[in-house]
Amino acid sequence: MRPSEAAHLAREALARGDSAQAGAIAERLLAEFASYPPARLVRALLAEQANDSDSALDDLRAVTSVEPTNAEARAAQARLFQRRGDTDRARMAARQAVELVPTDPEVLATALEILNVEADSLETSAAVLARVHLNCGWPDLAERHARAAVTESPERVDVRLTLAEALWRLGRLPACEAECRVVADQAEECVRAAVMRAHILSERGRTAEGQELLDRIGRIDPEFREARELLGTLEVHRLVLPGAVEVSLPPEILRQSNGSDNPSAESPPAGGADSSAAPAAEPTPANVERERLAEFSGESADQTLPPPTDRDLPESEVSDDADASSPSAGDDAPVAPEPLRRDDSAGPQESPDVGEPSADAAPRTAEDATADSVAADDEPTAGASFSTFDWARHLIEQSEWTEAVRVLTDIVAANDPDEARVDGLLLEAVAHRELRGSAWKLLGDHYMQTGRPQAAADAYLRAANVAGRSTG
Amino acid sequence: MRALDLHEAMRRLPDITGAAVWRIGEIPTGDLGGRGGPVGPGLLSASIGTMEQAVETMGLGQIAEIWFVTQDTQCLALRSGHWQAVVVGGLEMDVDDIRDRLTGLLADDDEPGA
Repeated sequence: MRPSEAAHLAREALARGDSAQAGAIAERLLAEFASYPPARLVRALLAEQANDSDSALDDLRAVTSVEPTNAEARAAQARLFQRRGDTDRARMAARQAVELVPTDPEVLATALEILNVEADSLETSAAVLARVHLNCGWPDLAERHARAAVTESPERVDVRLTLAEALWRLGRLPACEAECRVVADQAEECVRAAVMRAHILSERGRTAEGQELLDRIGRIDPEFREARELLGTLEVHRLVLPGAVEVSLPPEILRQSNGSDNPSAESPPAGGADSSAAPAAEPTPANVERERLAEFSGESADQTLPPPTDRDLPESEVSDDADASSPSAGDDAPVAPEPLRRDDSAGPQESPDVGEPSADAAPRTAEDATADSVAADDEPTAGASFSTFDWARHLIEQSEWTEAVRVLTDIVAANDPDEARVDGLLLEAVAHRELRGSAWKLLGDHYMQTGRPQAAADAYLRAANVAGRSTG
Repeated sequence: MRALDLHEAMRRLPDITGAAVWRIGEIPTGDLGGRGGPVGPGLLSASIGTMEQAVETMGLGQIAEIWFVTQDTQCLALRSGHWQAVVVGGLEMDVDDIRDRLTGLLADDDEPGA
């Protein structure tokens, strides 16, 4: 299970009042990724419920250090400060939450309540305008307002980060780097700033350093969501995004989450195999072997073009997209295209045997590819937990491009309310040359569905460019 | 009426060479007479949507209509209720007439639950 899915389960448990389960999942996640913001946020909310405001504020401080633009954390801070009677700080945090333009109505409602204003009577500050313009894809306007906002509130790290991102999107990398440094001074674990710095390093020819920095981000953001989001907007970059790490939850938690007593619904039947593998999972993606696998497996983990620079693996030549789309060495069981996935250290310890491929138990390593390709046919029906999203990822991993496009099209047509999830999947898809044109088009469709025409226009343009390139 | 039916009806308007239509929150449906390939309708719709968003952000209100002309093409974009439509045609296209017809088409369909 991906950490974000586990965190989602924790939030669900929290929402239905099952604090024990929410806490158990959060602790399980934090045991592997000590700074993972969604888990820290859950823990903070639990502490808030338990009237332990010190612990809650500690966790929230950690969350906002990693994600200075996390509006929910700011709103929670505001609530806690208000509960302590610290009105000034409560209002400041609430204002920050509002100015981060939260999409969650509850977050907005909390902040507005603390500010004691109606949404209509909020004054439009430079910070809000900067955020809105950045969200709309207008970095030049965002930069102008962000500069004004920085002048007004130089201590606000979220505003600095907005400015840094606007500069990054404008390609003004030296200025962006300077702002990232300021951000890092105040929020040293800030993932977004680190991603931009990693990219800047790689653009300066220091790809290895950039890659190392990016890999370190995996300890905090194991799914590299922010990196995918940022780097996905680039036509070309030299960084390799490691594959998603997975976590295993104890079967009893999964059963409770499923609301089912069927132990096979989510967890592997070999119980101990999975749980024994989990502690051995190496959460750090800075793993040379895995990098080699990533290179070897083509660009599945790469957002765009494979880096031609200082990655001196000869396999990278061999396993470029064109090769990945056709079985290597004339075999019908593709070995090389089995893409990057969780850490190798965990993979072999998992039981690859008997076909009980839950969502989490998708093929683990390249060497398992043959067995998995056999099991793959059963996967959509074998487990109820195998979602369309998992299926799409599986097809992509198996280089079944036509079918992958069909499934991705279905996903977009279904208009899943979890926009970010669809965004993430499609941004993963555009990393594959064979899917790029279709995936950009689908991303455009999805952006249109979700009321983001500027982003849609950009995605459609990219799709048109891909089509133009392939025909020209 | 569904977007597909509406698109069919729009394509029957005189001198129209391409049309796209969509409801807010849906994927644009249509074709631009082969221009822009399968991405064309989406790209044009999204670009117009971007302009609308910009205008709204600047506090200038909501765009009801956009018309532009190039060396060989006219384009008219309209909003009516929850529908948005874009039509393109040659320089001979009578924009006033098309505007009236298109407005009628969209208004007829702008019923609750349509």
